[in-house]
Amino acid sequence: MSPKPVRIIAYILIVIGLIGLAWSFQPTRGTTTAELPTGQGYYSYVKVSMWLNGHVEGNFEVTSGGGTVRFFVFDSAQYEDYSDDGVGSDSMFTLTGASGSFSEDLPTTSTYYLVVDHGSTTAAQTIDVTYKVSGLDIKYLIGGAVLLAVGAVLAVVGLRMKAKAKAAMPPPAVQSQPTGEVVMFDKKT
Amino acid sequence: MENRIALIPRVMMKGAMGPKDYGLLITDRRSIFALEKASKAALLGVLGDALLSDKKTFDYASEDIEKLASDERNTVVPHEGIQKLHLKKGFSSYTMSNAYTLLVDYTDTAGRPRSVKAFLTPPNEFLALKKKEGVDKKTAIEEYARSARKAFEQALGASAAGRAEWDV
Repeated sequence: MSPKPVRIIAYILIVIGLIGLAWSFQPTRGTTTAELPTGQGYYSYVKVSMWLNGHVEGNFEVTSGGGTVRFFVFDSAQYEDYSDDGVGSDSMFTLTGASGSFSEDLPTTSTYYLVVDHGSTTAAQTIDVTYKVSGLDIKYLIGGAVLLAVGAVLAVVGLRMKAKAKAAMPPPAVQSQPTGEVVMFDKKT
Repeated sequence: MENRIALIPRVMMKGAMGPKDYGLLITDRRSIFALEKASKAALLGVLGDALLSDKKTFDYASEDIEKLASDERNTVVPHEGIQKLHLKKGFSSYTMSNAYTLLVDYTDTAGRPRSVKAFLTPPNEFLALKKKEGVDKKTAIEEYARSARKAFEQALGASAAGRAEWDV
């Protein structure tokens, strides 16, 4: 492979990597519609990966089926407990209602869960959840860093290939300064 | 095989849109006036001519002779068709200076009578070089013409002696 395509790929990866890194600092906004079927023990969740710390806020609303729902914010350990017993006795945030808003700090590097389940009813319910997560998004952060690193390595390789190719090229022929004189060709050409 | 004898780097010929620069490649069979670039001398006079680049369009030492000869913008004079060759001393209104004029009457490859008139206009770098050597312009122009004569004499050989007239 010639050095130029390698360098072009490298620069593209570096640009995408930088965009990924920048993007990881952007708040993530999302809206999801949770469909809880009839019966006990159903729940729906949104998973949020957080690096260092951040913040989550938003609101929820039961749009069909009536009744109330329980809304939780769990860290990963709390979510494991909840998924085992469905109780949700330990949570970072909890609210029961037909609608409501939430705002919670996410203090450490972890995966957090926004969970909604049946509250006062076991009938089928539809719940709209809107949320905004501020903080470093680990997916974009790692993805961007990996692409940036690969791009940097390729750029170094490409530049070395270019330097080698340049070194292998014969030096340009030294051209004599034209004098404008009548030239007599001294050999048969 | 056709052999290159000499290159006269610059001659000037009349064109429909004004004078044009040619390089004159002389081989043992023919003289090829290869169009270099349209000269702006007609518009800008001597100053314009001095500002022109002397960079050559072709590398005459390696350029395919046949390719040059077959270019319809170029003029080809077959040496065997030359009836009269005159290197005449005079004055060029293009460069507003002394100049030697090359007049050639010849028959082309199709047997038609033709004539060509070209001013032996030394390239600016040649004049600059001579000036640096302390040679005045008039002498430099004469030297350029003498070199051209030598080139033609070598290319045409003794057979052309009776057909040539030299004012230099």
